[in-house]
Amino acid sequence: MMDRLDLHAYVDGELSRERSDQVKLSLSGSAEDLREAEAISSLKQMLATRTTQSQSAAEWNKCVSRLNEIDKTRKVERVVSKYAPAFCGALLGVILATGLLHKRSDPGHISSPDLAKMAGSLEPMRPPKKQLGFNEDRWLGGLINQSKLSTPDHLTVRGVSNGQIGGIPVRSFSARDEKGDVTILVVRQELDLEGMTPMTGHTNLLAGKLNGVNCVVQTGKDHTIFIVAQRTFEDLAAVSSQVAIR
Amino acid sequence: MLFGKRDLRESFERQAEKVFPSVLGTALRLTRSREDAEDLAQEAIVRAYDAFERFDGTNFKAWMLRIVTNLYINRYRQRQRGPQLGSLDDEGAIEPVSSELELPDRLLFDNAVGAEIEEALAKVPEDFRLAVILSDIEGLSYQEIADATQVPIGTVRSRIARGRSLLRKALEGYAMREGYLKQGATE
Repeated sequence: MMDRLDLHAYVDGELSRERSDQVKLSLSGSAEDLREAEAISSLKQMLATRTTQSQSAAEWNKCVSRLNEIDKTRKVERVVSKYAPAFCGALLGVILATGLLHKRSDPGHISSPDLAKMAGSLEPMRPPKKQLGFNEDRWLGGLINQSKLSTPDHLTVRGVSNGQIGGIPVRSFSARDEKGDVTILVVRQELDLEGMTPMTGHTNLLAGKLNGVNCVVQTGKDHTIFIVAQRTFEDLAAVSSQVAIR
Repeated sequence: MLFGKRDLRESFERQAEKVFPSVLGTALRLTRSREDAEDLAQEAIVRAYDAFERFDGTNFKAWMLRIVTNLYINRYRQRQRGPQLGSLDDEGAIEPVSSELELPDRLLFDNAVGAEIEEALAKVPEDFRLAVILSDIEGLSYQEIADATQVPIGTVRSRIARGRSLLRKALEGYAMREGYLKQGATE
């Protein structure tokens, strides 16, 4: 009886010509081997013709979609890798340009965090030579040109400092009344304020917090005044009502 | 290959679409799960597309089936396979049978013409089944099967012979009824 593996290989056409001829010769002399070869061949034929092919159109369409996605991704990757430095430069340029443009087109814009910085960046307080009232002109020289501040006599200024936030001149007064210390920040232009909300019952005042401390803001045509102290908004509003540009 | 990007895609798609039924069919016969088979076939297509520039241009179908087989062996089989008893290349090995929980083949394949064959095939141990599928259903040569399954040609020969022998036993009645086997042709 012939080697079974050789018989399978013969049916599969996987033998060398020489070995194939030997098997062929041997098959002609053995009915059993011939039947076996025919059976293998029949099984092979049955498997080739009777097995079903799965419907695959829907699955193929999914594959095509995946290929499309891959192509898109590759395209983007190619563009990005080629132009990444230029993209980064352009983006940086846009950011800088936008920042500059924003600053130039809206010079009065200032946010609450900026205000906090504003208070912190001012020069150290220097004590006045003597206790002064707000209505003393020499305190106001250079602050708001010819304008003048007036306060009730009992609000006493104890110190003053100057500074700038984003090119905007700021003057800070350290004052005191019977309820304690008050910081008054005076800016010589009208500001567009963020983080401050209109105060109920006071049409000209905004209220908010600066570094967690209550603050009311009084705005005028050419000035903005911040009253900051650890007090209620109503108390701050009362102080504000006594402070004005004259 | 001297293809432009678009030509490459068109060339791949044209050839892949032609062999996709074989890819999906082989995946179904290996995984015994429609969902896994779709994943496997899709993954194979994506891998093939990624590697298409390196394809030597000889037999695309054999190359695709090699990718499917490798993916299945490396990924899906580890997940699906239960404990293996003995060596599959050993003629006397104890043969694990397919899980009873697996889907009936008439549900996996879309018509009932070959359902009996598919059911018998599903019960053949995996390595023998894979060799028979690649040889008798997909028409790959021994060398191509050896490349796809990463075993020597001698092992391929024995797996094919063993797989066919098991199938013959299982399909004897069917083959006689259908006229593929004559009386007295049984082993």
